Amino acid sequence: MEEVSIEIRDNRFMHELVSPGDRFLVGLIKDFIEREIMPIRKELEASTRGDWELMREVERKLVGLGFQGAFLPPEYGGWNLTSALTYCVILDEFGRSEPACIAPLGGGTWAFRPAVFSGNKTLLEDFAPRFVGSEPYVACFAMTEPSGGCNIENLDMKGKGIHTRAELDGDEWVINGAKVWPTNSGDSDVYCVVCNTDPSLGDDGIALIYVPVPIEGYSFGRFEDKVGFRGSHEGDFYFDNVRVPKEYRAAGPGKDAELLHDNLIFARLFSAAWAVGIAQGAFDEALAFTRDRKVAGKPIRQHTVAANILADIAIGIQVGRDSYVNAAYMYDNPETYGSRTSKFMLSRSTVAKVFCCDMAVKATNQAMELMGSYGYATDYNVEKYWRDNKIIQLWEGGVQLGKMDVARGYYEYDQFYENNLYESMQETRKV
Amino acid sequence: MAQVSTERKENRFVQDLLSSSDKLLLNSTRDFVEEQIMPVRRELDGNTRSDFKLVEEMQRKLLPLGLQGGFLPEEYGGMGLTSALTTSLLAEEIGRGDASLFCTLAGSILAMRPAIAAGNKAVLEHFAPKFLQEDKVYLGCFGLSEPDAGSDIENPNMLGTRIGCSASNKGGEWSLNGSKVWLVNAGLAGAYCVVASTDPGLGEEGIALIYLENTVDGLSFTGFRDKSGLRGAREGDIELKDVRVPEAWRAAGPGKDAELLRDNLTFARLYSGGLAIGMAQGTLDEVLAFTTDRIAAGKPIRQHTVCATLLADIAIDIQVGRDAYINAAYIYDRPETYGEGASPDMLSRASTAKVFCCDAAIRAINRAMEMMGSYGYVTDYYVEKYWRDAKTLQLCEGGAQLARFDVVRGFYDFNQFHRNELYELIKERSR
Repeated sequence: MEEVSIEIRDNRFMHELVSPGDRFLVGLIKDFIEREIMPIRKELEASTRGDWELMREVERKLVGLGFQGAFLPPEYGGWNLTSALTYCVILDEFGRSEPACIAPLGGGTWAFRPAVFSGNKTLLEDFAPRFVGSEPYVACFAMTEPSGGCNIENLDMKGKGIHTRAELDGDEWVINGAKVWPTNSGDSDVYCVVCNTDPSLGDDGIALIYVPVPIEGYSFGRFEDKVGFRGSHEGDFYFDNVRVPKEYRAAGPGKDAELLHDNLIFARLFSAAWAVGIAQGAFDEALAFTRDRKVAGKPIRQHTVAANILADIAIGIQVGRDSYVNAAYMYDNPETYGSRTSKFMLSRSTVAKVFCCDMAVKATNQAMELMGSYGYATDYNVEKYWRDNKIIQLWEGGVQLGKMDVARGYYEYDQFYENNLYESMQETRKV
Repeated sequence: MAQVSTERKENRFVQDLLSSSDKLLLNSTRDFVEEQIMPVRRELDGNTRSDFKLVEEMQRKLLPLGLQGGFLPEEYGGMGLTSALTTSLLAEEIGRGDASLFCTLAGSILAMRPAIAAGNKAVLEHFAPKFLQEDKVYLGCFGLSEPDAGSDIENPNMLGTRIGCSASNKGGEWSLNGSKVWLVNAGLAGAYCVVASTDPGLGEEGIALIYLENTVDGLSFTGFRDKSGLRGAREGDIELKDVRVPEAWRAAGPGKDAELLRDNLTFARLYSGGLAIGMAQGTLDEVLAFTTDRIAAGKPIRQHTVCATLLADIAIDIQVGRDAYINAAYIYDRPETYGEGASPDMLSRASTAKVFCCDAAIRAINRAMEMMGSYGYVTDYYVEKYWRDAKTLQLCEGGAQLARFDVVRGFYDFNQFHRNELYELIKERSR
């Protein structure tokens, strides 16, 4: 495919915010993607409907790039890569290719950030060597439960939505419960499990506990069969008196809740970037298609109506990219912008997530409209972007809970705000 | 009014993008807006339906801030305030109070920028002292639109052929003939910069930006427009009949003037983004306060989930729009890194901000009105004024659709006059 865009790609990011190191990293990844992923995108997805071999092969090649343990501190063999902005610009690049193929590798970062930030020596000493090896080592951050999807993320629930119980028995945690939908579940070597030591403790009851598998009492259900984002595996698993050392709790009461919130905010940021990457991929396809395809005597993109639709896609992408870059930069600089887990930061990162996901849903739809039925055929990959993106909008609490988190940055929003009328109405109805 | 927002104002944007003098100027402007404008917003608008005395008084009160001539180079007594970022941030601050006041200032900036960029001594020496009067309001006016050509003049595909105002060199003087419509500050300004053509056959080389003074023979003012919004920024029409000005009062020369025109358009797109966000922010502040105090179904409106998500939609539009215009303006201010201000890339980036912010402001204000019910529609809460003001911003400077053409020009060679052989064939047949 010849050059379709005269856009200066370097200008997508502000050089003053995205460091030369980050841009170098993105360059490397872009080369990898162009070489190893773009030519076989269609086959890659097809393999998830068969034996997964091709997808696994790409995942192994990704491990070969040496990023698997990058999130670890240097003394454990990592590069101290904890910047949200760096992860964001990397995922923006992946979004355009096969967005899900980075999930097994990225799971380690998400699952082990709590251990890294709390400086938990036992966890780092026990697990770090596995991540810095050349073999794939997959981790999973397990949050959602059968009875409460967004109830776990919801700040107003104060941990009450978490039913996975962890009880201390001597020097060991005993864990019982079920988790559904965690990315990489079933494929993982280690889980970071969001538990509750005692629901009456509120946020202090929240515990993040690491569980290596296989382990006695652990069982896996089945993988979800999804319409898109098929390269990542999600399934349900169960803990029946699973025992792990006491030291495998990330930090402790209160602190674990904060680490959970931090992880949620971090995920909102990278989700935004992922969605922008997907929209960019659809835009590139639509630009090429509308250049080559003629309608009423000239290329589609030379008609004013198509130009306006392409503009809407381009505006969404650029504005979305600005928003996640700025938000991630703020998150990375707490000395200026305040705590990474403040309501402000939750709100700011969620602004980016909600906007970018909605934008990408719209953009992939519009790209399809410009291509007619060809947009719906697997040859052009737009239908895949369209399917893949939707899940990003739905995960991590979804759009509506995300909007509530946005509102929290502007006023004291409380879903359980006192309502005297409610109470008197209940009385009236009894009578 | 109780505290309505938990948001930290300094976190509204990435502080590291601003210089310390920008922050200082911004703070003093914000104080001015809070103390002088906010308490009389309603009266200011009401005054535009009678004698404009209050509006003019406010313009005089603004003088000590130094913005009237601040954009002039330091060697002419100004502050060298040519940064698009500074101007856009000022637009947001003033826009929150009364957007019309900023538009009046912007009329002067747009008129004088070409002479400043070209370093035109004759023009600057004549006009600069007038803008620097400390006790007298002095305005500039940039004359672009014509009765037969609104967006055709801004449209780069027209190559200057649609400019009807003619400039011919007669014995070392320019003679100007034609008429201009919709000019901000027409009839009030002392300095005019008029977009004319020396010869439409020359294409862009024919474009000439020529300065004239309000007292010159042959210039007549034909009246103000009566508008729904932005009423404090008066717009009107002028006619030019053999207006004679010195040869040196052309901004630069063939080719260069076309570039200065495009640069001005790009600049205006940027601050329009800031201005729109200022209106939306003002609206958010109003609706946050209203929904705190107003109880529906037993609790404050903003504690209902449906309203929380609506308020979030408004906040998202504002934050994303703000990131977009600030980032674009920052990029514009650094041509050594990001390319020339008059390039299609930069026009695209600036138009992205303008289109998004104007659409976002209109969306946000409509939503705010919905949450306030009929109270949003009465003048007491000022939301209806923001609603009227924002609409005209979307329509000016080529409007929403032409600006989208400019957006796509950053991505491919969009040409409204792309060769269409089928069109020619069909015309041939029908003959």
